[in-house]
Amino acid sequence: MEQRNPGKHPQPPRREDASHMEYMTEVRNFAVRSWFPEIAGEVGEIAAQAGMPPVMDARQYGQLAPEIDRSPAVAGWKRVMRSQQQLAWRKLQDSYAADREFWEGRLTEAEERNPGRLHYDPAFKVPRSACEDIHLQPGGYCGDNLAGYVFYHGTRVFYQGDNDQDEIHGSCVDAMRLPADGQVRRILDIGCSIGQCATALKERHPQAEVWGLDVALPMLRYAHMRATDMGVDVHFQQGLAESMEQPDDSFDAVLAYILFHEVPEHTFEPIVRDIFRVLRPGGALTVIDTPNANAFPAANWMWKLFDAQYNCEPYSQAFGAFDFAALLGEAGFEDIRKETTNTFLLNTLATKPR
Amino acid sequence: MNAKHDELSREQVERAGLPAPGEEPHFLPHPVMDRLLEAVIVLGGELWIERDRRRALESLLRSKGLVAPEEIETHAEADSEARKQELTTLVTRLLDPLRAMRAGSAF
Ligand SMILES: C[S@@+](CC[C@H](N)C(=O)[O-])C[C@H]1O[C@@H](n2cnc3c(N)ncnc32)[C@H](O)[C@@H]1O
Repeated sequence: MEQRNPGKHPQPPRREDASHMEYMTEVRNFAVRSWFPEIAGEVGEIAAQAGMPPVMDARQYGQLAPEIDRSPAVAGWKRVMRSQQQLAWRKLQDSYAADREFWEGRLTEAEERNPGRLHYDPAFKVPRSACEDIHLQPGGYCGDNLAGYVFYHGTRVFYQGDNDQDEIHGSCVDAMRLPADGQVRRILDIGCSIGQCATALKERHPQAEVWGLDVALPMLRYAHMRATDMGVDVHFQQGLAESMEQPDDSFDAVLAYILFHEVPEHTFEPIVRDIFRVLRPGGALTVIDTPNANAFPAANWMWKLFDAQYNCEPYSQAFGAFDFAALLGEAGFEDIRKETTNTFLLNTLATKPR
Repeated sequence: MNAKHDELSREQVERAGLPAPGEEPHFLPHPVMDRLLEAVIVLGGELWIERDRRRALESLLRSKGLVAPEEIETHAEADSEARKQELTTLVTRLLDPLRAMRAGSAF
């Protein structure tokens, strides 16, 4: 049998699932890399004919939207994007659920084999706002014990083969700001999901104690099993970024990779304040997320609004429109810098004064 | 700088643009078109799953010298229930998207 790249994770249950994910990756690749540029051209023409500037604000796009949505290409593209997500999740979830006991058993077995690294309180209450089916994953991050398995394979489609060895997570770790004094004893990864940045952090800073925090226990259990299988020593804790149990001044560096665009706007400020609290003086924060900007080309607006509404990213628009750097300043951070990346994401770096 | 809202009303505001749970939006002029396009995507997936498996199998059979490609052309499989069931499952999965059409979507 030809060897498919297993990456840092095991294959899905059956060859059939692997083939299906491979197919869905191609469907997404077609829609995103090959079809979307053509659609962007068409949408750009519609905008120009309507006398709109090449880069516009939300109100201007709102005026154009009805006409853009009447384009058969735009409509077909949205259908393909949404169906691709739904069909990929559904098949993965069905396959894992067919052997639920076995897969849950593997999580439990890792907890017995490597105790003291997964921290949670069975009485922890997950807020309703964290229960959306983000990206249409049925049950979201919190609703199914096997969500970590499903999330891993589903996001391989999203990363289109570019992240099978956690390359993207590795580059996040490389882009992090560290304290000027070079002291890195404890690092915190907030919204760590299945712990791909957390393990990359430990590999990069072997001397440091690395913690991954997330609201979703199914993600953390998978993260713990995966780190255990990799032989990488990381702590995972269930908790809320806006009210962490970690003591004051206890971390040298904090990372939040694509967390903020997935949390409600009213939590931005409490999260930033709690990060400030747990960082020690001189400690550094790195936020890697969708850009905070108010003006985009029409085609980008089309995609952004599609994601918000039809790919279940209910909070993403609020983060995009928010002056995040200003909030960091108000919370007491200094030396706040924005750095563009070679992806569509933006790095925001900040330091807690000494 | 951020107005304070109670969580429930805030969530309602943020959820406002999203389809209700269980409700499938349509993007094309008629919901049937959305369903048919999805059926085509499903079909492509089923097709690739089969091709991928068949390629693996034929290459194994050939490399072990067990079956020559011509034999596959002329082989008649015994009529089995399992085979019929597999076909029924295929058709169900392929055409299931059409079930999402509802009364309100009449021509
Ligand atoms: C897009 S994922 C982050 C991806 C991840 N950082 C990685 O390295 O791939 C967002 C994560 O944030 C978590 N999350 C959402 N709200 C949270 C909150 N208030 N506190 C902590 N984690 C939260 C979700 O459970 C989810 O796992």
